[in-house]
Amino acid sequence: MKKYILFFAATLVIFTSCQKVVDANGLLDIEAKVFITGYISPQDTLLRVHVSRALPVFGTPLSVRDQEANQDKFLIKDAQVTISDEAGNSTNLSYSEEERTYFVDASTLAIVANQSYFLNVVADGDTYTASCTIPTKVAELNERINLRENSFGGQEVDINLAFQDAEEGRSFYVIGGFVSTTYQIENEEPVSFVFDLFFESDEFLSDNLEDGGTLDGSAFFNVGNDVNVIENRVTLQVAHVEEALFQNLKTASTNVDADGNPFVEYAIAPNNIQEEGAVGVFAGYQLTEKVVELDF
Amino acid sequence: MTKNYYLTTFFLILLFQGYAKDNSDSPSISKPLYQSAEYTVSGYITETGSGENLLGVSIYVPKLKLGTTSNDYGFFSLTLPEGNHEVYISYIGYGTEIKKIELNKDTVWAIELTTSAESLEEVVVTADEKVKESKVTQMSTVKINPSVIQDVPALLGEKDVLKTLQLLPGIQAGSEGSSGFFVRGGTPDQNLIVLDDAVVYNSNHLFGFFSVFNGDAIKSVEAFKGGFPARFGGRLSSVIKIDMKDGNKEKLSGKFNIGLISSSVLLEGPINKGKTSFIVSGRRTYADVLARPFIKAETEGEGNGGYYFADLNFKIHHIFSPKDKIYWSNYYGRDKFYGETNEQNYEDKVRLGWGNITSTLRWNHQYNNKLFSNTSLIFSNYEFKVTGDFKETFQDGEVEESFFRTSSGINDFTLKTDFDYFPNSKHSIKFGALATNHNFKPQRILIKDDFAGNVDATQELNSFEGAVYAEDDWKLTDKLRISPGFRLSYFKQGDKQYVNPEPRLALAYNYKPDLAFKASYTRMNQYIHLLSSSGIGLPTDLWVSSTDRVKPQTSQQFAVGVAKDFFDKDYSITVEGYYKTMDDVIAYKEGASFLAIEDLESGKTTNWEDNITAGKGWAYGGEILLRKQTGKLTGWLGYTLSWSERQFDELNLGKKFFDRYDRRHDISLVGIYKPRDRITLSATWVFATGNNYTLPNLQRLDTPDGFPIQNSSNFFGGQTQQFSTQRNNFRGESSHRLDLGIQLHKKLKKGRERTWGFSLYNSYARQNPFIYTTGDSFYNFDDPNATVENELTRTSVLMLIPSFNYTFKF
Repeated sequence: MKKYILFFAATLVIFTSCQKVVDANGLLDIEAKVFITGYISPQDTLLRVHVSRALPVFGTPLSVRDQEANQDKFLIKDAQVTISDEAGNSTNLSYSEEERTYFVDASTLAIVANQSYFLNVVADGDTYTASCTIPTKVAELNERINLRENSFGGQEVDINLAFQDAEEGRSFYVIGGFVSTTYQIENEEPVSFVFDLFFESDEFLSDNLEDGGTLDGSAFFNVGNDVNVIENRVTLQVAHVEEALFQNLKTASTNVDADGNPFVEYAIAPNNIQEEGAVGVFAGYQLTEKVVELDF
Repeated sequence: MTKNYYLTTFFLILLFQGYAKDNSDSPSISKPLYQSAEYTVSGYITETGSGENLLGVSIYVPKLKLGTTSNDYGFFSLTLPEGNHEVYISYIGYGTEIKKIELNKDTVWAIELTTSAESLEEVVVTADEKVKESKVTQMSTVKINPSVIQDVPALLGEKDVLKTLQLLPGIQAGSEGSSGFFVRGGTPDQNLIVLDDAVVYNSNHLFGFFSVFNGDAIKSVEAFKGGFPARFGGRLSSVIKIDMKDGNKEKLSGKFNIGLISSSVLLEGPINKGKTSFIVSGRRTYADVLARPFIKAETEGEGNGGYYFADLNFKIHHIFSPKDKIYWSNYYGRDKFYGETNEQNYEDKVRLGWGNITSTLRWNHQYNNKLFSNTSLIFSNYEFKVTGDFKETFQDGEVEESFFRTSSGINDFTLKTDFDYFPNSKHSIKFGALATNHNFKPQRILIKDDFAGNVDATQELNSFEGAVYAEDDWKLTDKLRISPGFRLSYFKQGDKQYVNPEPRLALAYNYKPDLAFKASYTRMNQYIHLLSSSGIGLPTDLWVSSTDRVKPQTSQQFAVGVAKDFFDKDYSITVEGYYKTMDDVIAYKEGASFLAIEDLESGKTTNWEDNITAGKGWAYGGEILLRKQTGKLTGWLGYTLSWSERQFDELNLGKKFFDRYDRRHDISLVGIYKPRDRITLSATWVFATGNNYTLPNLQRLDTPDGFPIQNSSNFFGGQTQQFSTQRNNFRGESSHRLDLGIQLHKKLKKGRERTWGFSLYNSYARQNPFIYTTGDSFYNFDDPNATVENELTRTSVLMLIPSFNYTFKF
């Protein structure tokens, strides 16, 4: 269907339209801002905060070949990044050239459910702050897995993942997972391949219909009928996240999906940085994982 | 559902019982207060030759400064003191008839007005010739003569009611070429469009490029932007009232029109001369038919596809007696995309269609010379439907067949009754009630697919909407008129009920005979809503009901204005200012969308309530309309200065933002010049401040954020990722264009006439913005120092579009 609509739309546009690059100066002016992202959880081994610059979309030439030079335009390597808790304990994060982010070992500051944490960033001479509260952890994941033969002679694996919503007001979840398939050819070492499991429209869930009810999402993947497969292992993931984190991922996802479609309203990313001059999200989450072995 | 039918019946029985005494023998109504001194002139006003009822005709006694206008069915009632009077009966395009009467008893007139060539000439027009802006209490209302719609130059020659309305101040076009419109800072779903009493839910063809109203069958168009009379409700921003012709009761006549993209035909005439008439008109585009051979040649016979839209209007009018008449009006409109593939091993057939069906059965009854009623039984339907059938033959001979059927829509069943009561020359009272059953089907899906699984699911929602109202146009003194009104609306969905009072008030003070100061206040409620992710009128836009979670939208509007008539030149000027607040207006949440084509095909169901959020709106501004309606040169100049803002807790980080169609300046200049009977020249020039768009304005490095779950936002990694910090952060460039038209008429024997029409849309080929997109600039990959930048691209459509059409009337 889509091809027919596109054909028609293209015909209409070709015959009656023209495109012209216009000077965006004066139409869409904005100053560069500091961009901050930090998602923290009790399950982390590292506490990470990304601090860089967000540069205007228009009027920022980037090198086609020199990626390092491009990154240097964005990176802020000398920021002071501190996370503290309600009791006044704090930890400083250091810049890593390799990761291009700020991090510190998670053991330096205990991240605990229902506790608030405070981010303080000093960058380019200005101070930016934000706070977050760690949600509770989803206690249990329940899965229902159906196998059926697909038209390629392999198996289609349909997964339904369900869990109980936390009874604490509005809650937000991101669900996903990954599949690890291990092959072993005779007389050779086993080799594993990992691919991500997407829950499509169910990857962002909330309890706006019912507080404390059961939430679920579905995904599927196909596996071949290769006799050398010795193990299929599915890791299911549910993250109970703060709303700002949820919206940040969701809007980015929507904008990626809608890229190039002028008839879909561009989504605005959330911003919980208190001061003007910076945008971003500092938020907490808790991750629950469950590993399921598939036996064909 | 059954409960709703009971409610409907109960509602109307109550009303009918309340006024059952209003029969012709009732002394309380038929006997005026000053019976000894006053008598009533009543009757119907029709067009000579066709018997068509004429609405809005002025019946005026200058000496007494008393007058009235004919109602929607041509009925009028005017109570005057005993004695000799000169009564002026006038209507634009029909000249003025002066009747002298010695009034010593109640009198019934059957007045026939003749279309007057004189009205096209530069004549001296008296203050009494027609309904003047300064003489009516109502403000924020514009009437458009259907002949204006025929004369104004149109895109591809398709005469369009809604695009003509867009040329009036306060009624703004959306994107370039679109027939969607925005009234005083409102949204398209806040416009109530009624065709012969039936609500038309989707007024667009071809994604909004054309409206569904075929101008041939239209008798009158009236637009209310504010100061809404109590008889109207259910929408916040406007009422567009369109009435179809009743059909020629005297002789068979018709016309056909051949245009570039469509042709239309109209036929009207008597079934029983003087008693029963019919009118039927149809229109269809034929680009698909013309393109078919080319598509077949291109695909070597293996493919076919196309698009068309079609309309059909059909109406029957029957006069049982001078006091009882019925009208049966029907409208059917459909847009359809279709495509077929017939390859050796693969066949598919897909259809995408949408359209309205309306049917209205109306009964007029005249109880006596002061009380008139109309009762309507109305059906209105809108459906959007996608179907696909697929058949694949594999190498081993196995055949796999699958199909999907998915649809969404709304069905309304309405019972409505309206009374016009003219107790004396000071009051003109209207009262009535309506009851509507809404049946919403946000999504119906049927999928047969052996591979992906079968789906059979329906979302359905029923609700009941009712209202009672009363309004009075009360002439307090010679200078002061007041129009108080009250509407009580009721809505029920499931166990949730809403009851809302809607007070209305309009007043006009004549400082001078030709100068009036006006003011109005209205409160409106809207119980059904349109979910639209694009704002351009796509067929996937979805009508939904208020529920316990989704409150009704409400608005309050204050307006003040001045109306000045220049009697000797027949100009009129109105200046109005308005301030409107809107509560519980709805919008999609950030990143939410509904019923994308892909979702339809995959059969995913989404609960629409999860995807929307409620907020507030503010709209304010001023409008000027300078108009000339008679003479060789007619037309108007309209200017709008306006602001429209929104605030949603869940959008734009909770901050206030300007609406997409917040438009600071909007100018329309319309001229129609008829130097002789044989030629009509017309031109329109429009200017509009650019629309607002949300575009990414910042970019950041696309580095891993450390979040452990991969999702679609971080799966496709690039060097940078763009984002936006504010909704509608970009105001597009201003647009303007000049449209030109010429019509050459030739009168033939036996009253026949042929017309050649030529028009030029956007005659100086202005590249007005349609959409803006961002993309990478061109660079030379071989250049080691090459840089790439984002650039803003404007797409313009509809530049210098010539067209012609041929019309033959008989």
